[in-house]
Amino acid sequence: MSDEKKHVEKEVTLKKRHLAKIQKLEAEIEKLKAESAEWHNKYMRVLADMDNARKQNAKDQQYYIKYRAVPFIEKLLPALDIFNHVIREEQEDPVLNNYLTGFRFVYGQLLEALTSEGLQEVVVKVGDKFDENTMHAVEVKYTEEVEPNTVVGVRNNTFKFIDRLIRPAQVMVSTNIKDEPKSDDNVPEINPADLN
Amino acid sequence: MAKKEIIIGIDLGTTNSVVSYRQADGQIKVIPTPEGKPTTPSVVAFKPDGEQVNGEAAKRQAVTNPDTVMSVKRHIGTNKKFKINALKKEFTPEEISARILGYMKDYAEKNLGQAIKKAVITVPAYFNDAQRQATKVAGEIAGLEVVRIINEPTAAALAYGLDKEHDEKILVFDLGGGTFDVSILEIGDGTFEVIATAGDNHLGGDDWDAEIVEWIKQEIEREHGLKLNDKMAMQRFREAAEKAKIDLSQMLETTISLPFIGMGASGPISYEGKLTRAKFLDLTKHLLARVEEPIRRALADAKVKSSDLNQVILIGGSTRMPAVQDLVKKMTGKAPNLSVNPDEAVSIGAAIQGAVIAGDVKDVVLLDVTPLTLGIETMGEVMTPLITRNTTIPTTKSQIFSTAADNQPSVDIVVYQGERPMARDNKLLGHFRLDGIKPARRGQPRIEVTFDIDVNGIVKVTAKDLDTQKEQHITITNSSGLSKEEIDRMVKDAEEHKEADELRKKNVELKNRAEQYINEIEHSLSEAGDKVDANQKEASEKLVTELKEAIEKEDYETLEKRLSELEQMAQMMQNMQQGQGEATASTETPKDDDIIDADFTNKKD
Repeated sequence: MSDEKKHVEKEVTLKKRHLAKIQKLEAEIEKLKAESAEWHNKYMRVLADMDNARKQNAKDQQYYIKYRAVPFIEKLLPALDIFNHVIREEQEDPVLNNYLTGFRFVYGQLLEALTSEGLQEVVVKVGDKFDENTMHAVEVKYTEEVEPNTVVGVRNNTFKFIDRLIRPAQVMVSTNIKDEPKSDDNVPEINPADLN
Repeated sequence: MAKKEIIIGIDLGTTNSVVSYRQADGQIKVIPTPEGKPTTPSVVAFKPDGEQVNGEAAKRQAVTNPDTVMSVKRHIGTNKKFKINALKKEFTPEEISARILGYMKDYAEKNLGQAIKKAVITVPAYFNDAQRQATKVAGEIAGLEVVRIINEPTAAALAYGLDKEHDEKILVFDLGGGTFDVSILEIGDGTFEVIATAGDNHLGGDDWDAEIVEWIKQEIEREHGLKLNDKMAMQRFREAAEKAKIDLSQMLETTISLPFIGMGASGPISYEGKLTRAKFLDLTKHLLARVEEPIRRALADAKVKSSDLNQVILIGGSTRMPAVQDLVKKMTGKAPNLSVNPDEAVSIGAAIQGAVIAGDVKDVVLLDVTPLTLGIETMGEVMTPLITRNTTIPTTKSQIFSTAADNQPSVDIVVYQGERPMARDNKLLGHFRLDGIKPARRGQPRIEVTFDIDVNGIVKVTAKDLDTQKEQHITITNSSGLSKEEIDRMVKDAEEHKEADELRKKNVELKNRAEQYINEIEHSLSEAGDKVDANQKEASEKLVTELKEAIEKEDYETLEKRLSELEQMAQMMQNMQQGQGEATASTETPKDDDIIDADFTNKKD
């Protein structure tokens, strides 16, 4: 075998070896590319999740700050109701009446403080039209004297906090006298406890 | 990236319903109603003009409107028809349920700001095929693809994080507002199976309220000879009763206060009375007795002994009553699991199932957390935490420290791991020294200490002198080398020693504060030299001696007293100085900005 031939052979094997190596490396690159893409995807996903969670968090926080006084005011409402109820009484005794006037002012001050925090009292009067969005019908009165669905008795006023109803006024509502149940078997199937 | 599909979870209840979903961060969140409440009454009504009213508003007008449908769940899967006069039309139970579901879908969409097409809805375990099918149809009428109907107890188990991998037997106890169910669940072979159910369709928290209402009525009659039966008074009784019931879950006694509840012969009548938990128990013992039988029956039907139960889960708001919890505990011999909000558990479980179906859950990248707190030792051998336990890694935290003595040339950074407030009680991870600090008064140099934990849990602690930019670091590779048992023991130790540790820490802090004052006073005296008034000098020196003595004798009581006197005096001096403008300078009073910032690195030379 001539030297030249040997040389060519050597070159061929070398080329083959290089080719194999290139193929191997190319496969490796593909694999790494895929891996990198997968990581990149996961990373972006986590970043997006983080971002969404952060936005949600900010939204939640704003919400809690906005309505933070609500649970406290809800606890005060029963006392406010009674207070309001009592000062609306008119007394014949002038001394008593003077006291009531004073208490009316105190109630006004209390309400003013709560109003500055976002509370709104919506006064409900007899004769108003019943509105289930702001009132709670506790009792019905079968009557012909007024239009059906009219407020005929008020226990307390509606309270809103900013844009939210926190306590509907509890009222008595008129209903068509023709609907009055004649006997027990006609009474609508309502569990009183469901009306809480 | 496009928003991922959300599958909501709906607990469609007899009295109330709840909807939740899985947030981007993996947390399940209950979607609030437009009125800001987590639950909505399962009530639908139609006004005379045909307008539909939902939830709270529907409930509020129920007494005035015969076209109001409540508790429709009791009729689902039957042929019952609801005649709605306003629309001159009859509705099937699934059509009514669809209105409730549609309302919930609507407010959920508004809250999330995206369309919702799919839902998982829960049903009681005892529902038959017809009832399940009708529930599914209701969802479809409402425009929801019901991807799965699951049992309420199964949803509760999911909410409690129980998975299908472990073979377990679970008792789910569900006492709501108006219904009571007990289910025995068997988990194994990758499935949840309800093996027995029992219950009482007309027993719930409202019955407990009714007993209190009755009691109040009788008390008022006994005290004032007045029978109050009008609806307005009853409404106030019910409100007071519910509040009393809730109070008695926390307290042993509650005051029921009903001012101006009625009119008597001599003006308004006010009632105030005390209801004890014992009396409440006595009033409601017949209700509690009605809970016992279904538990016994469910266990017998399932052929399960109470000792075979692995878990007991309580759901439904009425399980907040201690008497109910005690009864369940007595009958099953197991402390019930109470970690999930009982009103929301079923809906949360449905949302988890929804997330699994949507493929979210397997997508979760499991992130590691630091099992124990990492920190360094500071003045008085106190452990100062840099990274608290359960922080998700990788993470970096840094804090600036200073020196504890004048002209301190170096600081020792000693790294500890653990939950105890005194450094020595924790595990020592390593230490190094940063030297070459320029001579300065104590508290002047700024040394930034940074903890960095990489994704593999390797901790690198760096200390850098911010004045000279000189830095030194240590790398700790074995910080996570503790076994689960060791970690648990360390956390438990910290709990057990909490009180004693806190006292020790407080004492050390007192001592540190006293030493700081001594240092300041001595420094001021020596700087002022002869300019100080002799009396003042004597008084100051006496105080220093007293403080030193107290430190020596470890008399922390005296130390605390003297310190608070001193601080009051300093405050007074400062006020006087401000009042007099440039008055007799009392240099012994340390300036405010020197007092605070009490983090000094420990010097051990």
